[in-house]
Amino acid sequence: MTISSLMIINKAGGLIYQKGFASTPSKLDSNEYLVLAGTFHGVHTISTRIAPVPSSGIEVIEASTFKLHCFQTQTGTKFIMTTDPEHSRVELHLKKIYEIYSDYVMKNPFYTPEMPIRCELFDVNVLRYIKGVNESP
Amino acid sequence: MIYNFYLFNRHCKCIYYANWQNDKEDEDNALSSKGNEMKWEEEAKLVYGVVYSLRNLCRKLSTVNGVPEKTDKDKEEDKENEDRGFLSYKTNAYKLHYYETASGLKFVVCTDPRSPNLQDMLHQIYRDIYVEYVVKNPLCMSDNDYINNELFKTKLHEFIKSQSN
Repeated sequence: MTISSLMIINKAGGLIYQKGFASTPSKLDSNEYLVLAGTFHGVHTISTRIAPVPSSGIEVIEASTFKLHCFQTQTGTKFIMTTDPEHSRVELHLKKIYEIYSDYVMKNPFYTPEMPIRCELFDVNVLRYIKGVNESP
Repeated sequence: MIYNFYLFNRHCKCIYYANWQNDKEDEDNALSSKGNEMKWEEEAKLVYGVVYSLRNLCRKLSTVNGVPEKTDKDKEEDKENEDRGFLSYKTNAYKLHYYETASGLKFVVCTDPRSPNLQDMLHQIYRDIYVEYVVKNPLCMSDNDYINNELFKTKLHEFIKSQSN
């Protein structure tokens, strides 16, 4: 049970927060993350267009080495988490992160909406929560 | 429940498309949602774009999650495995499965979201149906044409029907 990274994408497809939690250093630079976020945003929209039945956007992507979970809020902000392939109940964790985001980012008077998140309290609380999840059996 | 099937060749072209949705229902809906209806050729291009982007995305992200330092031997093994990076994605109403062969053929299938992993089924379609009835057919000269082979069509439909039940 490991959560290896967290991304937050605003409603325009811009990456506003990215953090890796695995002990291994990430190989991608910030520009590549921006491109990936933009790509995902586009694919997420197209996936509703190519649906054989009326559908929402992508919720889970399965790959051979990891799983990517996406939670879209009513306002269009997307929370994305990558975990190992066996991870379950990730939706719950994403909603919890959304709660932390509401408390420490949206209620921060110095934060400009849709801009990159630079809030110390958010960092601390996300890290504490993810650590708790990763260390639980 | 299997909704539809796309087969793309290595030149990014959709060479086969099939749809198993209820046609009657479609006709009823066609009037109300005509503005939203797309030709399957257009849809196939979008599907190709989606799986191509997701394949690259998964490839990039999996290097982040895995062990970063690799020996040359590992890299060689990775080359074989890397095309199998992206397996499927799921929304609240459907699931899209993806399978790529070593020769660059891409099999895409849309099902209902509860279906299990279909990699083996797609591989079986490639091995038992595509290779048998398209590759081994002496009349199929070019690999860039839409497959109009009746035997392939019937065998594929039979196979999918048997899997759906």
